[in-house]
Amino acid sequence: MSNAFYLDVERCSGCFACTVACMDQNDIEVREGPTAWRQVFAVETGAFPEAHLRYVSLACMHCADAPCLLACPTGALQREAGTEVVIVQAELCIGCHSCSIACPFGVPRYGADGTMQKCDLCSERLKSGLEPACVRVCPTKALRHGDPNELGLSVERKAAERLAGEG
Amino acid sequence: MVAFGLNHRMFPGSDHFLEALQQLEFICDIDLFATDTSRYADIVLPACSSVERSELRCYPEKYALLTEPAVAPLGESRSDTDIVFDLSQRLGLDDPLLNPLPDGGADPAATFDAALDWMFEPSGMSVAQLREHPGGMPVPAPLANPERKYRDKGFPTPTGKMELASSILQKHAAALGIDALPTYRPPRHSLEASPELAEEYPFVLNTGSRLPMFVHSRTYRLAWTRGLRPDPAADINPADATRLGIGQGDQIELATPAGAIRVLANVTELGQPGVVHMYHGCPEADVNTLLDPDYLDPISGFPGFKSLLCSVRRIDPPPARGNGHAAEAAHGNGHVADTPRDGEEVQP
Repeated sequence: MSNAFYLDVERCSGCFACTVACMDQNDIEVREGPTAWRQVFAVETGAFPEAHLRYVSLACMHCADAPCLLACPTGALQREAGTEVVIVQAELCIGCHSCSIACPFGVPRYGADGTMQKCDLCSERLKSGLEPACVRVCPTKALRHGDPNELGLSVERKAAERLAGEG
Repeated sequence: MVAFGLNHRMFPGSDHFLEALQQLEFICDIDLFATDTSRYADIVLPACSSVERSELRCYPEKYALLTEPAVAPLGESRSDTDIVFDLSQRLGLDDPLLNPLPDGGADPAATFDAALDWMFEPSGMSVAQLREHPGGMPVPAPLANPERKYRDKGFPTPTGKMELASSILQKHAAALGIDALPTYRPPRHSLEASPELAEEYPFVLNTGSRLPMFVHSRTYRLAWTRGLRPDPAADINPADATRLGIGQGDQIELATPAGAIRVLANVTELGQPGVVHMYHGCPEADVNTLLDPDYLDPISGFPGFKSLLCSVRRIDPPPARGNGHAAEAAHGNGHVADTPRDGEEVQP
């Protein structure tokens, strides 16, 4: 089964709980290291009095045909058997930043030692039957994770309800 | 003065508050953390957190629960109530609950239980019963909610009625220049009430506009939440920013007749044109230093945190010295030399 994140942009309130949960789960020291592996962006469109504000929470998409996997020259980036998550093995990383160039989402971060680090979809939590930390704390249930086809079905169901005038 | 959780940053004129604190002969501050204010105390007593002590919780469903400490108090910390009892006994207070033994020295835990039992008496409940029910219990004889309370006893007003025009305010209306009816009057510092001031300070300053990572002055000290906005920043509308030549992340100065602070500009539509939002409680850029200590609503005394005037100007970055000025601005003190109030010396 493949694993994916899903974000309902309509529901994200920009509370940053996912970012803090990510820092907690992955012991990210903000003062020393780079930034959390999940980020929330405020995206504004229009101008007063017709301004609109949306929040978007982003982390690694764990792409099926991941460009970073192809770009990595040392095999530090791998697809984990079982969870199908894209993981990085820091001891193999040479800090060449190829993955950063390849990634369309700007996900790779580099720690104090120069090696790459990123979201592993809380692989350890998944193996224990738990949700990723960011999904677990999301108070509006904007963030979800699971099989992309199953996630798609639930979104499609909501769309169907809207079409039927019940949404 | 003995203070449980002393915080000078939560009031208008926080610098003034701090000056007043320094006039006191003696301050004992009891707090969970060492704070900016506790540094001015002669003695700081560490209080333990709620998971290190027993606590009574009462719920509107007439349900009561006495929590058990999850861990013993860490370090030298103690429960606030233990400190209160100990202090009462050392002071020899004539109070059988706070100071039950003639020569003091009562066991704080037993004193705590006895005080709770005294509170419980009308409800037919005891500490011993609550301890037998660690998950809590329904209160055996809860006090009934009085029905038609206001019909029988009236409201606590001179007329006993709910007053649309306050008869208390009516009495003082002429002397104080206020109205008995709740009428709108523009804030003391506003375009309507002080147009000449508004020429020099054309922006409305709104302090305390919420940010999800900060809870008053509390979460600035946590690396995770602080990391979400490491440098103090004020929200300013793009239209105003463009007019003043201010870009995202530029250093700006917010000034009022009371003082000035330096922060970074966060250019966003979250702020309406003509309005600047600045969150409070930040140790490096305390927006409450921009309010005069007496900038209060004349009737309620509530501080005008969201209704004052300020000016905004861009601070030109210092000449580049090869390693970028942004980092320097980000780690600077963020405080402009205080503008002295009339007749006041500013301490270095």
